[in-house]
Amino acid sequence: MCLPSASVPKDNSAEIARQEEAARQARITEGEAKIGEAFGQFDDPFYASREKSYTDYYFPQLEEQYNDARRKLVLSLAGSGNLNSGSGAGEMADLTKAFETQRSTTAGSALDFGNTTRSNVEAARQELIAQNRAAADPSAAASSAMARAGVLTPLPAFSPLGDIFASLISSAAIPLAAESKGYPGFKTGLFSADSSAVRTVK
Amino acid sequence: MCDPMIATGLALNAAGTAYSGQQQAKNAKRQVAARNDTAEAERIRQKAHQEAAAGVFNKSLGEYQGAEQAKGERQAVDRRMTAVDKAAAETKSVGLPTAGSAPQVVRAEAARKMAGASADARAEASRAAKLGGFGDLFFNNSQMLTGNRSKLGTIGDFSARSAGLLPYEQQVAAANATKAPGMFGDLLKLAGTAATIYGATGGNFGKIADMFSGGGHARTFAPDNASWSTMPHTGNIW
Repeated sequence: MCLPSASVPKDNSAEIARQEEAARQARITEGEAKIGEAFGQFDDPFYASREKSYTDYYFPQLEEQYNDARRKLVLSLAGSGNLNSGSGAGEMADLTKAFETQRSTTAGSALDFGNTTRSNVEAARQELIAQNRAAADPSAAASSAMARAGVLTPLPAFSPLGDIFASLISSAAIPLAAESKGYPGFKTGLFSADSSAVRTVK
Repeated sequence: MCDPMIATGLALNAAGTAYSGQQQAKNAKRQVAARNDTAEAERIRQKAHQEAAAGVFNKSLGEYQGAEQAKGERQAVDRRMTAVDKAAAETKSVGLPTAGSAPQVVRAEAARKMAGASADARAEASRAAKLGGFGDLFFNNSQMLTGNRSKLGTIGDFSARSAGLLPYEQQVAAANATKAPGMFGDLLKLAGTAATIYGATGGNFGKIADMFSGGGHARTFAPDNASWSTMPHTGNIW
């Protein structure tokens, strides 16, 4: 006598769950690749162009201020009779040093600005990767990446340069003018005492 | 002396029980093997994740080796210096508009002071570039770590989700590996029981019915003197 044993269908649920997990991982990998593609535009030339934009904005302002300050200093030195003096040369050298230092500082700030941009871009990329991992939806990841990349591309607003050389000009002009009027000033000894300005009280 | 029928029944019963036990043991072995296979498959997957993560970590660690850091700092300082040099090269600073009648000593002094100012500015810029380059090195390290942390996050996510499936996979694999027990063991036990009862009652089905019904009505179709061979087969006695 042969009794048929009860046949139980195979349980495929774990297999389905495993396949679904593999598909999810593939979607995440695909999403990360799409994020990478969207952020591919943020390469070294991109940051170099941002740094150049920075110097393109600030250098002309700096030069304009320098030229303005130099003109005022020359006028001031000429007015005080110090144009052809060592003291005047010293004042001009100080102005030149301030100008050149400021240019170097601005060039360094441009690199800092590039670093800040890199940091912002990387933060946005990380956020998208985290979102992609949560959503595991590459099409959503790609559209978000494009949107974020678009937001990051425009340049932020820059503040105009303040008056860099103002203190230098006033500090140079006042002592020289004072010295020309007979006061100690820089004590350059370039001015003869003006009897109308100095009176010896006995 | 034990009745041969009872002995046969007991033997059949024991054989049926042994057979069922053997089947259960085989099922248990199949379940264990299925769980082990599933665990092994997951171990291989986890190993791949672990190796990928180790690769990322080693890359991070490698970036912190002395030579790499020195190289990174050098590159960062060079980058700053290049920017400073470029800015200096493009600088259009001019000295005093000294008059032609100005004494030579004054003109020389003016030129010396201007050159000194430029040299001072350049030296200061170089020092600032070195300082900034060091900051850039840390910035670049931080960026590298952030990127690698993200990679490790993805690997960790894959690893955790995969490992999370293992208990369920093992449970299902064990269930799928389980074979429905054959009825042979049960049939042996049934036959053994029947033989034992038959032996115990001397083949008197009336007594058998009495054993289960408590006596009375069974007699109507199974008289005391009815033998197994003469008794009409009226149906299942149980």
